[in-house]
Amino acid sequence: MRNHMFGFTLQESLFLGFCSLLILSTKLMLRLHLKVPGHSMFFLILFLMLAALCVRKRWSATLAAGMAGLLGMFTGSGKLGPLGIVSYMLPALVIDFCVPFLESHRKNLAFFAVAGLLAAAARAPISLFSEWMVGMDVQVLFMSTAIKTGGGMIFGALGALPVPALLTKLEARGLLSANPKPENSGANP
Amino acid sequence: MLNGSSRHTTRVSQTRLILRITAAMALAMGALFWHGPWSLTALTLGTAALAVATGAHRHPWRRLVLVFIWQVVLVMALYLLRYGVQSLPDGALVACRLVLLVLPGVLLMKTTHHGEMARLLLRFLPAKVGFVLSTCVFFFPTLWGVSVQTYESQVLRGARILPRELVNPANWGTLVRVICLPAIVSSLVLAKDVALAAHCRWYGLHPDRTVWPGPNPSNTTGEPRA
Repeated sequence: MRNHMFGFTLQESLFLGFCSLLILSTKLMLRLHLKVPGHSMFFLILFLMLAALCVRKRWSATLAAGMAGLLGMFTGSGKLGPLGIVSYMLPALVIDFCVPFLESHRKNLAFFAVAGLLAAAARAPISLFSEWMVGMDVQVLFMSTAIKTGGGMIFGALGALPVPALLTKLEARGLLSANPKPENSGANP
Repeated sequence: MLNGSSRHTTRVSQTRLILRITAAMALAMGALFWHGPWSLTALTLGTAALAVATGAHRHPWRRLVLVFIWQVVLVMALYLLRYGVQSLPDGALVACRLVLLVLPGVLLMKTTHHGEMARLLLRFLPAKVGFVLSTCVFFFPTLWGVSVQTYESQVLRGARILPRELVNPANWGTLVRVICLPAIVSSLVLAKDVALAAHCRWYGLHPDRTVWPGPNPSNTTGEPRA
């Protein structure tokens, strides 16, 4: 299969696109039924980690998050507008940086939980920056960000926990190769 | 599900849409960087003008207001707890400014037809990215239909994944196991099938944009035209 875009094949790009739509649809679905702060991080981290660890190429989570941000803008689902793309991409960047480490520690749930925690915490700078710029008091600013990011971090860590088991099941069904491929093997024939 | 707000949106020309996006961005930037004495008044009037221009009065306001209640209540409560009742006006000002930062974007996104926004964005995106995004949106109802069928089957066999049961995070593991795993499997299979179908139609053979089977009637081999 050929390189379709940014080093990904068409199949990989489509899979990442479907992951981004699953992120958006679960977010919209949960917003209708749950009022728990930060709960949307559960499925965001889950699907971004699955996207990164299923495709096994650099920047795959970031591409999925970028597409989720763009599709969120198409559908008007995000309340942040164009800033929504950044709010999806920051956790994805953290996940992409953690992927080599996670692949080598597939059995260790604690590493996955920490990666989910860090990825969810990566959204904090957006909240900090925007609230600081509108003139919020620094102490209130930190408390507000801690409340908003804290719930997300817990749900992010919870969302990362089922990923190793899901990957094992996908490998058992023959949908993923058990051994990670070299970086460019899928990109170019 | 994803285009649920399209009933409340109107179709506008691309030029008007670009103007609205520019206005919304200017208002949001103003809320961030302009802290002059008349800034709040001017930004409020600007946002109100944008709301009128986008026809926001036809939109269900209850949902729009609910988006901001959590933010305003949190900021006011934190100011009250930290500095007492005398700081509430400061808290109200900050909350108002936060609302003015987010509201133009929300107004724009909620009142613009998603097809118009997609068409505008696809103008600026590379053709291959546009193909992937539009293909995913086209095929997503198939994937969603499979997931809904799986969900209903699992509910019928007693899985604790009804909305009222999902309020308890302990049941989220079941949701992941019986819904998310099949959804990922379906995504992988569907992506493989769509990529194979595109490959069979010679998609990606030429580096430039191609169409299939091509406008030339003499092209009987099905080979694409660049």
